[in-house]
Amino acid sequence: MKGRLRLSMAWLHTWGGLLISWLLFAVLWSGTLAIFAPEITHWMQPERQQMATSADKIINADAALRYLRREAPDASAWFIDLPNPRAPVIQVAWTEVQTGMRHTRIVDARTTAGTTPRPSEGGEHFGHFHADLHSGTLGIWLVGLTGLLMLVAIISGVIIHKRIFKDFFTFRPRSSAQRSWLDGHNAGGVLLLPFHLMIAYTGLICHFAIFMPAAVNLYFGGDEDALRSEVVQRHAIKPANEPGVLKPVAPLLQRAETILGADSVHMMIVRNPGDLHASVQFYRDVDDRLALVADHATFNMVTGELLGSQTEWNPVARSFRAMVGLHMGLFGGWIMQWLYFLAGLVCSAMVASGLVLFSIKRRTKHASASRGQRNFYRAVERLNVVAVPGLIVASAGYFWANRLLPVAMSERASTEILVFFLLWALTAVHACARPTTAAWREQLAMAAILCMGLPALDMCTAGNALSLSVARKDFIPLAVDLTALAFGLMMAAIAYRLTAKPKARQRGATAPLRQAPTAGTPGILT
Amino acid sequence: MPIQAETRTRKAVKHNAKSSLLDILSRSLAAGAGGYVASYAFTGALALALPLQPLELAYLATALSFVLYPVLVIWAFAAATPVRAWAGPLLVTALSSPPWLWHGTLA
Repeated sequence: MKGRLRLSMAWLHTWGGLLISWLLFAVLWSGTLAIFAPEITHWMQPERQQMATSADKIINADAALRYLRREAPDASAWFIDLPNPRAPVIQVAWTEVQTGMRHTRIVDARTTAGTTPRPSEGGEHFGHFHADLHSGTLGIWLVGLTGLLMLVAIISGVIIHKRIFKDFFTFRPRSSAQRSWLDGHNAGGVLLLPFHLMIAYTGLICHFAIFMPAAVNLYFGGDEDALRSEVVQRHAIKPANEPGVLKPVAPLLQRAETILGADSVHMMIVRNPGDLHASVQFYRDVDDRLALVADHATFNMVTGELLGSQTEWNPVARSFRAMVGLHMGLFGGWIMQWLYFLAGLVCSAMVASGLVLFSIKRRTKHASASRGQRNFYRAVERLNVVAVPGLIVASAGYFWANRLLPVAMSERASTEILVFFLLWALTAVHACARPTTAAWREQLAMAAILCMGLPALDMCTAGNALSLSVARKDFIPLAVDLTALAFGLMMAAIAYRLTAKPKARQRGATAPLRQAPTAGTPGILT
Repeated sequence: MPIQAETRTRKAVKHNAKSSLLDILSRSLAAGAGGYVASYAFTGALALALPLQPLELAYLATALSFVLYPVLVIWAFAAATPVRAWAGPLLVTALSSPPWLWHGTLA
């Protein structure tokens, strides 16, 4: 019975895993990059790096409001983000009432002048791709399916594992290719098992009302907003349609921070700014708490009256939002963000190694495989190349597109993303044209070149923005450059390993199987 | 397990797998569709039966459904026979039905 269970789970792990891993890698990889979405956006819009901010929050808030009063007096709402460590700029946004067009500006604290950052989704591109593959509801469901099958693969993987403890200490890089890839796959899977489980489960939680609407249908008519409005209190007031004059923001901000916590507010929304019933809502930061709930306080901005505040949350809702917070990884400061980033890389690598392992195992059986099976294995190997190094090339190319496309071109933000997908398609063409090992090596080398070239590209295309930002103690652009460089070096090392020492590794691959290498089969990762 | 026995089982499974694409399709359907229907029924049943506020039920019952669904998928492929593969989701759906029926008579 036990042997049968293990075999059926091995079958499920292999084929279910194969079915989902190409897409799963894309979801995990983009999610890993999305950890640093604000930093990537800061890098991708050099205009953000040149704007002055003040150490005094009141001056920043005043500058934002002065700019908005001047440039967008008729907007129905102003959205203001004050400088914080991960986004050290004053950013304002509003929506035009007539056209519905959304405008974003970066405001200089000294001059109160505004700049439009170059149109770009920045790091959000990876977040959007991670959540819905840039394809709306269908994409959300596809990502949900990968999450479900990832959970299934984790459970079946644990069941087929005979020696889960020993594998903590097992890595045989010099053994046969199949064994060392298996060790790598197991080590990555076992060491970070809690992370894998957590990230797959909480990922499903993020879109819970779409994936499993049973309870929301029963009590809220399927309307997630109706559910949310029972959790989040609203204190905004309807416009009076009589003109009103806004009070200075400083005393209101100070009162908000006595309610929400000292120096805890970096985001505010002003509604109906020209109206007698103008209101301003201050939001507390969420980067120091697990639960993704933002305490808030709202004031009438003409009279200064406190309209209401919320610092208490329904405990079940709060626990639920803690799971969303676990998925997003906004808490714990930069050390936690780096841990999430590294764990995401390991998670992606585990899925990639599973794909490689599938091919290597089949490769040893090639001699006995039928023609149809061989064609299938070839197709799998090509898809592996497109899914793993191909996506890395496309992602690095997205950074290049950001700097090489003209700043003033129309549809610029979507063109950047188009370049990302075009490059990805090109890697598919390349993967079909080249033998498997060569395709891996060349695409990894390409990814390495693109990544290692990013610092140079940054310095060539953003003028002296890099040195200026460092001088202003804004180290984000430098950190992005150095991370790209380090990642590029890692890709180069892997690409080099695919060229080096073919003899030693070949001996290891064939000896235990007592099987001569099949003539005419293009080399794979052995 | 002795190696020979494992080889025998492996052969038996291989033989089974080859002889019944239908078995795989049936189990996949039991896992995907059967598992989803059962999870939906279970979520609704919990939301109807537990003595909590609606907003709490919406979060709690749905969070538990994402535990049940993968387990049902595993079940559909782990079960010894295709009939048992379907028995899992069908049993969960049946056990989840009383709160739904009670809710239906009230409405």
